[in-house]
Amino acid sequence: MKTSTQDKKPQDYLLIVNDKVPGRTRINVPGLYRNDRLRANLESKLTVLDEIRLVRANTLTGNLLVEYIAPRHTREMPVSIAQLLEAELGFPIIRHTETVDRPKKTDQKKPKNALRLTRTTEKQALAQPLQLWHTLTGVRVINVLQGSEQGLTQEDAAQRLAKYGSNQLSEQIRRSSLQMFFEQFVSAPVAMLGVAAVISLATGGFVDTVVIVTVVMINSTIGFVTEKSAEKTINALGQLTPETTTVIRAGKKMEVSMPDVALGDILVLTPGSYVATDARLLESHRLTVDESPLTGESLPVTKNHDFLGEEDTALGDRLNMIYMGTTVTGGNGRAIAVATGPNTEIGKIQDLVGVTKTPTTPMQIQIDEMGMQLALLSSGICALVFMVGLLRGRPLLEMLMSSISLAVAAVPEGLPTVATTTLALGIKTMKSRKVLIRQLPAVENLGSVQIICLDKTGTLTLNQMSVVALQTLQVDLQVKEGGFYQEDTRVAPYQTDETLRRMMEVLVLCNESIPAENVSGLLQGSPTENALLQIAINAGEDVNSLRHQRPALKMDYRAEDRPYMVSVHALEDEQFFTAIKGSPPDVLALCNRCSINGYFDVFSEDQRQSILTSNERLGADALRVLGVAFCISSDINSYKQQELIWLGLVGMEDVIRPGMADLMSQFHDAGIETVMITGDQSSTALSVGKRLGLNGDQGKPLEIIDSAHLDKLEPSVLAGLVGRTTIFSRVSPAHKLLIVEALQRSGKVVAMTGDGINDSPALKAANIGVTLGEKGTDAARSVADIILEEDDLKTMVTAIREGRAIYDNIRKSLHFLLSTNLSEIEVMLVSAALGGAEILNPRQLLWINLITDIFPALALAMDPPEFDVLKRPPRDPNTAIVSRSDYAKLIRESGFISTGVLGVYGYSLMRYGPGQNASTNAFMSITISQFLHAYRSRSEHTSVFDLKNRPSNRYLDTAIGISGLLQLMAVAVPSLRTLLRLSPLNAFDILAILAGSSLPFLANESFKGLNKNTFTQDNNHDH
Amino acid sequence: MITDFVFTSQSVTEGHPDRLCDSISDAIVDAYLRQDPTSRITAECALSKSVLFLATRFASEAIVDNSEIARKVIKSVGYRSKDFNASECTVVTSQIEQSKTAREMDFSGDDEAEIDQITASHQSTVFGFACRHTPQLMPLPISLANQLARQLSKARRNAEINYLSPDCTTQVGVEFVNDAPNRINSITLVIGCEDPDSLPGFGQIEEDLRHSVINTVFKNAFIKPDNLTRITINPNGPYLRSGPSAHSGMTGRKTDSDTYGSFARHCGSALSGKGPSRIDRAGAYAARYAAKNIVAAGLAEQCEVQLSYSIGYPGPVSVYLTTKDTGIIKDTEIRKKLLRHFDFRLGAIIRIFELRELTQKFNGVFYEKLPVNGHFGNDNLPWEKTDKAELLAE
Repeated sequence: MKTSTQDKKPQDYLLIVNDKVPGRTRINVPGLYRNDRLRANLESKLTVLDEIRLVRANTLTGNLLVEYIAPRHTREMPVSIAQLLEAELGFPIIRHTETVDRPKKTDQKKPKNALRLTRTTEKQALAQPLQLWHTLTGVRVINVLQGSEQGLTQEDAAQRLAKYGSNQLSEQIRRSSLQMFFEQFVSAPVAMLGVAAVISLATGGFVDTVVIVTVVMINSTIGFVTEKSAEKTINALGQLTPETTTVIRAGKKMEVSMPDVALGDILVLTPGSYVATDARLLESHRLTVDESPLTGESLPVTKNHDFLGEEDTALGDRLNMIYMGTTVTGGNGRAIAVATGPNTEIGKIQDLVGVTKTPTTPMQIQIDEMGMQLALLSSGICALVFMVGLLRGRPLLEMLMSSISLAVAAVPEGLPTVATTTLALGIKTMKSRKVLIRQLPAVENLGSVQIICLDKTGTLTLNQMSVVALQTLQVDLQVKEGGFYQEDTRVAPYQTDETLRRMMEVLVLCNESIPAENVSGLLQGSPTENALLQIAINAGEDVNSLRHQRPALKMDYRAEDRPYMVSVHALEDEQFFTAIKGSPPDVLALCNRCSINGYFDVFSEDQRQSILTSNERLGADALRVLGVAFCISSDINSYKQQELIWLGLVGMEDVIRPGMADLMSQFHDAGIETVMITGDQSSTALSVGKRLGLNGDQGKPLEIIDSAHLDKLEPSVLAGLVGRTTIFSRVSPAHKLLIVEALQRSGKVVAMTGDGINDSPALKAANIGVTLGEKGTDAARSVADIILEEDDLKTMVTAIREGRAIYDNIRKSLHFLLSTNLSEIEVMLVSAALGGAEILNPRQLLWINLITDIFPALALAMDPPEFDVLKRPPRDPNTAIVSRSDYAKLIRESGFISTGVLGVYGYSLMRYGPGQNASTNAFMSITISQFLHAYRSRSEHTSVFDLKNRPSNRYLDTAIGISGLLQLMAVAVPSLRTLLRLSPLNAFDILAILAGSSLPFLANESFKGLNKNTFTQDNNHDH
Repeated sequence: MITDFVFTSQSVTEGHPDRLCDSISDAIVDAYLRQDPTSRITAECALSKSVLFLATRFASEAIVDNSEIARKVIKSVGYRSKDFNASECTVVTSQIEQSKTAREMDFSGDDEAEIDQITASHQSTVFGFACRHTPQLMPLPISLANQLARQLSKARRNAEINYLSPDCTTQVGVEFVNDAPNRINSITLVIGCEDPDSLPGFGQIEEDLRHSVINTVFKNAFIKPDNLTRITINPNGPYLRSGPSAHSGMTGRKTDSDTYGSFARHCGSALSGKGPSRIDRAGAYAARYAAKNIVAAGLAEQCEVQLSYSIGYPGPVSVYLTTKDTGIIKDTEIRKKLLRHFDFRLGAIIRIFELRELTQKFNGVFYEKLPVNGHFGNDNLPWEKTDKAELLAE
């Protein structure tokens, strides 16, 4: 708390300065300073009280010391003293620092970066009164804050905002650009280069020093630029706080922007709303709040305004308080803002956390660790090279220089940068494909998703009902795309059966949907009623004129004990037209006659039975079925006499979104299991599941778990059951969490779609929570890892492809960096062992490091997804990014490269003897080998021999082009040649270099082809 | 040969998890046949705690909501909702859809070629038995055990005994002298109690059961329990937890009480959950039909018929019978008569008993009732008719 600002304003509260010693409390009283009258007054008033032992008011410090008989159990100042003081001085008593018992969880889980971080206003804000708000009744809180039930007035709010500052969290201190740039230098390789530079300078190698400094600068600049842009992308994740919130001001509900919520504002809480400040509940009705940003608890907490807490009630148990950053998941209520901006609980935590770190993913951590180990390993090898060199009688300083250079060249210092950059690039690519990533780990999790749980309603279906079947006793019509079909021939409905005319009349009249004003407009009503009205319009009914001719006199809606809807309409001849629609067996029970082609006949028992069988069949075929009947009589209540005339059955279905079946098979091809979760009964679910092809191409049995009470099931039992299940039916949204947890328990990486408030716990628990952009509620959006902006599940495939490609690309870069660096080490090890002249000198090593490590590795990170990326099974999340078999491969490949280089060196030795010429040829061949190896690293599955099967990567072509050009310049430009100590090349040299660099490449590529068969088997372990 | 012995047979009531699984499986069979009489359907069910597993394999035009049917059956049994709640339990269904073959085609009836097309799709040796112990020509021990079980259910449904749970077991021991039932040796009833709070005293339970169950069953019986008959009720104390919450169940585990209470051989494979085209069900019915007619014709005191079927053959590859020397003519003669008057081909069995049409004929519910009411011994069932007795007696 910024206590320094305390004395700059007239104090309007009594501050407890010290109450640590039981029985003694020192209170700061405003206005007591040099006010003897007040002193006398206070002392005399207080001494009267029985509890008081001693009262001493100090007019110099403005403090009042009270000694009292403390009640044994609380040891607190008796309430009577506080009351008297408050009454006498008109100020509330508050404590200076609040002792908050924060549950441990908050420490473990730092708040998600879900809050908008904006610059605080320049003006220094005043400290807000701090109280143990949860121990006070709502009325007292209002009094203390001088608010009212009607809310603040606009002026008052403005005043308070000016006084206490706006409701914004202080901006998190980020690493500045400069800081980030300097951090590039704080690394082991740079330190080693620094040592090398100093040694060079000391030994008079000024040029070497310049070279080293240049290399360091270039490396750092590239590192800085990539990291900067990556960090920008990554830190932009997860910022998704709504702009406005609803408050009551001067008795009116209004939307105000988040920062303009003032202390004492009355917040209006509705499902899905984001809690703008810390607030004390004044009213609540079944209010539940997701407090996970604060407490890490994923289940919503039920709040209650009547609750009164103790001083030491834990934050998570303060049921009468709601906190900034949390989200209302259900119910409603009102609350008064008691702390805003940095004074809120989340603001305080943010202060504690201090500098925000860019979040890292498990993979990044793994890479960091691996980088560290490799650095140690290569340092060890460099030390070995150094020792061997010394033993071979090389000069100490020369050997030191060259092993330091080797260390710099060999340490894969670019690894973390490559990983971060690849992730950031992936996020950008996905954004352009309308997939918003909100959490960084989601990117890599996408690559390992094994199961995707799909919400049926709204995600797989359009959540629009449409009539697909009409059955009278005479005809059986299908409805497709608005047309009526009888056994696949299009028919005019009324010509097949006159009964249908009556049926359509009933559907128009016994219906509350409002027809569209123009032709293209939408119907306004519930999905079911819209569907029924639409079919009548398609059949040719004029809704408005019919409703006008037969005005509704009475409507009885569906109710618990009445599974049908009845409407009674006036006819011209003082008769009444009764229309009824509803549950077929119940409507049927009200009928004593049926209509056959417009003629009314008495029911036979067979006809009733066949109607019921039809109902069962339609119902089991995923349709919602309604029975329709009518009568015309002079009695307004005639339907109760069971004299209705049966018309027929109407079957409706929720239309499946186009392309979903294809999408499912794409998921299956990619080795991802699909699971449908629905509230429907199991036969509906089965029918939809079959149409979607959820059982896959092999037509495995569709296993359905049908339970409205999954919570009654042991979690371990559920985990055992979910393994092969494709459909969960009759599931309430609240139980989706159980399904996700059960799937995870069975060891699966789970993606889950959802858009409702109820879905948010499940979305949060899932490895990948997916919500649809436009339909998703704020609550769902705030916890989702991925938002599909276009409401189209098909983009999920894109996301998975990109996710897999990103992981692949990081592996490719890793593979490239590790194998090429390894080849350098091997060559130098041989060089040291051979003794004599070095194969590669320090400057050459630095050059290799500069031109082969950076650009090709970054270009590999931008490799387009391989064609078969969605035909492979998801990778096992537990496999290390570089596995044991990968290391074997790395050693083999680097071995080929080194052999090639050494071959060229050997040839040159024979031709030229030891010296600059041989070294030049080795230098040229190792760089070109590494360039070629970048192409080898592009894929583990395809080689350059089958170019058709791989997409081209122009970034890599460009990178290699530029690097190759630089390499050519190294031998062509005399000054560079001198710098790197190179000799000009002749035709034989060029041939030898080309052979020495392309043969290892061809060998490595052929090995890929040879291993193809075994690779596909390995695949299961590797991915 | 030992001819004096005690034979016990046992049975369970409708709420026993095994029996419940049988009923659910057969309800599924009914549901398919109701919509499509030529359906091929196999339904198997397992039950543990509050999870019901239901696997079906079918070739049918019908569309059936399996879990809904299972819930309906559970509900009709009437467990206490806290023991087993039809709407709250979890139903896991696995459905494999197959395509129909020539065996499932509609056939007009008299065409021999059509009947020959319907071949057995399973290998099975089935048995049928009949003896003169009861008017229904069933062995006495199982007949009594089943009657007791049904009477227990009846007493519960009529609220004569209000604390009875739907899950009870019965056992009857019958003493045989010279191979004929002589007296009731023992009766054992194990009943579940619904309401542990106001648990009735032991005397109360015994009195209620004797009055409403045992006495009712034996009212018209020709052998009644005597004062030496050992009547045991809940020898391990009352079962406070019963039904699926206490023990698990599975289709086809009560085959002995479905058939002859182990008094005769039975095939071992389940009768319930199988459609008409399954020879292990249809064959068992046909064998019983044959055995019962032989005994009814007066050809023997008892008769066990054995039919062996192989995959791909329309009829049995072996027909065997034994009267255990109670026949008035030689067994081989009886077999000759049998083969003359009975057609044991699968297609013929389906046609004669109208196995495909029975569901529709009985208002949509036929097979579902068999596990509780008994597959054999009920004279209304088509395979219990003795219409061929006169032909055999000739």
